[in-house]
Amino acid sequence: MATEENFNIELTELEFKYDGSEVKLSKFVEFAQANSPVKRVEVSGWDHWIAF
Amino acid sequence: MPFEFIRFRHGGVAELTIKIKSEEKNNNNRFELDLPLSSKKIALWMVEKFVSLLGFKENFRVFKYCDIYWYEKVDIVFYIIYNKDMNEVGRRVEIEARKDYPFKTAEEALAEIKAMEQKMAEIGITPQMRMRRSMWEMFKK
Repeated sequence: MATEENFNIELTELEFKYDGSEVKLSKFVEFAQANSPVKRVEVSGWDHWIAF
Repeated sequence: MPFEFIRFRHGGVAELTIKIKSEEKNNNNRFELDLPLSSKKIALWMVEKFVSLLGFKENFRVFKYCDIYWYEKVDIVFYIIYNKDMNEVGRRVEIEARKDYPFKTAEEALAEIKAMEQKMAEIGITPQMRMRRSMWEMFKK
């Protein structure tokens, strides 16, 4: 873990990821809306993984 | 190279991203630098040419549909992943610490992620369901 002196959230991806195959999108949306989000975005597009 | 891949996101806000694992056992905490690109001017062929001059080439691509909700300190995402033939290959839920919130330590940010995880128990999200492998680790050729 980075110390407070050198920690930079803008250069850090901190996340938990879960298999969503058992989670209904409609339930997720219901939960997300009920918790008063400040912003919502629906977006789609391609991600390309480029390697050496 | 200290990294294994570059990700080019083409849709929404176009960007080039480098991620580097901080811990071998999981991908919960990674170095991540997003380089925003002008989405109006950038074309895939430009990126392909640029990275080819650096010795890189595409390994795989996926199409993602994302439903993203932002809160004060974290955002949550439900996304559906499709392969290059547009066949669905997975669904994911993520809880991520916002990069524009002034967290002072990783521990402070992780505490907010765990608090959201607890709330999401009502829709079936549990700590036991956390995934350890990244998209790169799952789909690379």
